Amino acid sequence: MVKLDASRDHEEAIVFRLNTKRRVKLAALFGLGLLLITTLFTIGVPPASGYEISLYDAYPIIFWVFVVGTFFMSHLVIIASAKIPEDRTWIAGLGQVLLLNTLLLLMPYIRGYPMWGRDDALSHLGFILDISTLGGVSGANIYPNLHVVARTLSYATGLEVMSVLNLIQPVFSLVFFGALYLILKQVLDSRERVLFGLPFVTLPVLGQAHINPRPFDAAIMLIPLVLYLLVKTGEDATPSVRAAFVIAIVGSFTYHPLMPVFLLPMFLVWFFADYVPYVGRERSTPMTVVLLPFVVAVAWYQKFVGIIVRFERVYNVLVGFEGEGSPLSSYSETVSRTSPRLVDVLQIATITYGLDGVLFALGFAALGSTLLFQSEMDRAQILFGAMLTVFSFGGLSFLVLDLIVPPERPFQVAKIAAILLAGGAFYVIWDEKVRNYHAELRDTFDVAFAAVLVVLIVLATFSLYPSPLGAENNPQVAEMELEGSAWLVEHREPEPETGVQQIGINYERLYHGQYGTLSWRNTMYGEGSTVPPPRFNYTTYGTLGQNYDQDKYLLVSEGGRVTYQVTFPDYREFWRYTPENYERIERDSTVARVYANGDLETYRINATGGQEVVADVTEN
Amino acid sequence: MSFSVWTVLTPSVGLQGPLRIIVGALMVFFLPGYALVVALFPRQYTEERRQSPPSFKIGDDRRAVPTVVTGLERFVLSVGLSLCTVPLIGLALNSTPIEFTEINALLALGEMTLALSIIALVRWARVPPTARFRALTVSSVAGPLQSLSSGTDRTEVLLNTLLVIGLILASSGVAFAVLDGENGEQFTEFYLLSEDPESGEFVSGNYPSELTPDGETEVRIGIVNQEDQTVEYTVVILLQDIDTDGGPQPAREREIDRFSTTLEAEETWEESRAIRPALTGEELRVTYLLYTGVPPGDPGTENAYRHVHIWVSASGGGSGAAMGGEGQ
Repeated sequence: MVKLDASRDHEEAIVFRLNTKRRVKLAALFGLGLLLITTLFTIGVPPASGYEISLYDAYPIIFWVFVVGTFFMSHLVIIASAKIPEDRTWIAGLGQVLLLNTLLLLMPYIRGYPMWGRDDALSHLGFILDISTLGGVSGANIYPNLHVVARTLSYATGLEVMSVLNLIQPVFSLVFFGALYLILKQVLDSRERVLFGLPFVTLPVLGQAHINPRPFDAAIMLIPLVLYLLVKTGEDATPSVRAAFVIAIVGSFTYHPLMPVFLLPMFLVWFFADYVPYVGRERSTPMTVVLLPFVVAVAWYQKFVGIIVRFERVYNVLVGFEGEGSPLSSYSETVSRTSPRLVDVLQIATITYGLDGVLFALGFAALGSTLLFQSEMDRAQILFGAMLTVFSFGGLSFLVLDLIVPPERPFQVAKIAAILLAGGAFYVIWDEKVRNYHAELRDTFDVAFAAVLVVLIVLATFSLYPSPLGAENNPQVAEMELEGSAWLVEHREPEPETGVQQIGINYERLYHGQYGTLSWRNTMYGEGSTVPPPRFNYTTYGTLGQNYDQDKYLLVSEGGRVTYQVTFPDYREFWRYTPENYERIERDSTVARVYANGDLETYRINATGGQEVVADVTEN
Repeated sequence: MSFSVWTVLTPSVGLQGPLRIIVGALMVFFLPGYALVVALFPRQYTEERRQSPPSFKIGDDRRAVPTVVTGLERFVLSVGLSLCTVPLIGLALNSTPIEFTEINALLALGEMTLALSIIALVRWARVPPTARFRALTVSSVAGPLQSLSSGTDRTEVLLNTLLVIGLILASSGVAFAVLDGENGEQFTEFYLLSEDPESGEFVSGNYPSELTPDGETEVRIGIVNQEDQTVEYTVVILLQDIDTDGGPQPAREREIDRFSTTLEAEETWEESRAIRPALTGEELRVTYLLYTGVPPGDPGTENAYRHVHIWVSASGGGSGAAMGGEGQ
């Protein structure tokens, strides 16, 4: 009878497992359905017909609901499959996530944007064009790697460089996601634990870095590859692995000077972790292998005066010789001047730093649960814990000091560490406390895990692209802006050069992106500010021309015209220009409207500076 | 290796279109790293090799168990190490007198890939045949899919098969969405130029500020059709006495010219048109209105497709008749 009961329990266990597996597969099918609907939306919505101030508004709200739903179902499938021994349905979940990431990260390309990235990205496009002009890389180019890749890719594919740039960064993201998964496989000792971490490492948590064609963003994407090879040298200390590690470091360090600055401390942590008590003993990576790439990086960057000047300035700020205008002081000044509503501050703060905060909290929770439940930490946990601690708290110093780069850059490194640790926070709790307890405790755990996933998915999705939600505008470059700026370059008066004023665009960057950086001269802007006075100074002068001693061109983009209404609708008193101001320049006898294409208008301001005025004191 | 040779020669033999894009992307994003990975890891991955004792340190006398890498590791390392090595090729080229032209860049890339491929071939050949790495085959790709489509009973097999089909459909859909992306902007450029007296070129400057009854004041009008189709345009020119301090409607207004032209896609049209004054006064606005097709009965800036303007003053009387200009 005992045997019969045991047999029945075993059969019931098998039936229970089969039913669970079927539910997981049905969930995966449901997730695939959501993905297919998302894809149909993407195909069905027409491409951008002009500048879009928010990419999120290009699709209906229901589309973004499906995006979040697809992420959520895929992650649920991965976690559920993790709990079923030897089940492989998680592959379907992972496939859905990667396909959805492909759609999201290629949105600028799918929307038909000629270029995504209005400031630095356009100048980097200019550096790429310079390579053709010079027949090589300029000696002043301190981070040519991305430019060389883009130029080579353009040659190889026959595509325009601008088109190529839209496609490059997602390839870096592919390496990013792949290497993160390989790190989990390398450092974690069980299939379950790896799969618990998979939802976190497959979310696009680095925001614009996944899409922005800039050297720093490309370099950030290579950090997991470097980390993967670093931890692999600890286990497989063959010359082959070490050679791959050195090549990866030398290659990635020359993408951006911050790479050796950020990673040297981490490599030292890895090396000295052997001396930390309670660390599992593993084979060491020789110090020479760790230090050699830094020697190369120093040798490479020390020849650039610009790098030396930047580091000197950072040093002076840190020791108090210099420094003003930190990001925090800038935020404080804006808040004290505008007295924004608390709900607006919270919204912007959530979009800007919410994802960072949640990930950091998860990362520290993982470290805490590891210390609480495990008898020892391995070197990888020490490494990721150190990365998280140093770059999250250290990133705060970039917030309160003017250290050239914004705090978002060290936060990116901290986020990489956080997503590698985050799955462990839940796994340790599930494995140590939940797995063998009653069903109601499992349900509570599952609901909590699902809630955290939803929060992360929503934050990652809506902070991926700049939008008015975070008080930013879509950095799309429209074809009309390119054509309009090119028209001015080709038709402006040659001598004397007439200066340029701009609203909503950066003429210099657009110039770089179409003609390269070498032929740009600052005299193309003329003297003084490049932005017209607030409200076009109609409260002081009757005409715009009275503000200038020399004639100017004025470029106004559609994005510039509507940015305040869309981004700050409830703060009209702080708008720099109002719709009434724009109507008035159409009646202003000192302003000729000489070019229009539906997005970009070009005006020519006839300077009458210094003349007496009959001021229009009517407030616009 | 033969693929590397072929990809080096590809641009010079005039390969174009989607095939060149695919080949070119492989040349830059995959092949260099793949050759390097095979050179570094020429052995096939097996579970037992993966679970073997740790491999040797440098200088250790023990016989080594070389590292093996899985297919996924090879793929990630191939792309990642390509991104690391391709820039180094360019920088190396930059340190030579050789210019970074299309042919030179691709030759350098191809030569490096070839060299790595040769090294990989040599190292691979030294590995016992049974332990050699085999490139991706249909079975290695279909394996994971096959395991998904297997199951213990019919329902599970059906669910797994639906999952596989669903993934293939989703992949195709995503690929289509990406490949279908194209620029959707359709627009027309409308502008004014004036002749620079020194160079004789037409520039955005030196616009006339006075209209005299016995002179011919000319402004060059330009239209560029970026609408991806043939369009018939009509230009209406108004001379307006605008209340610069007040409401939007002009105090006085005369239509002084009107003409039409049809432009094909991507076509540019420019013509100089003289303006004679139909009104007198200071601060008169010469407004150029562009319409597609037939203009409305009451043309104005509020219903024009595009509009531009300059400011002039006019003394003396005029007939208000539109003047023709020299043809383009």
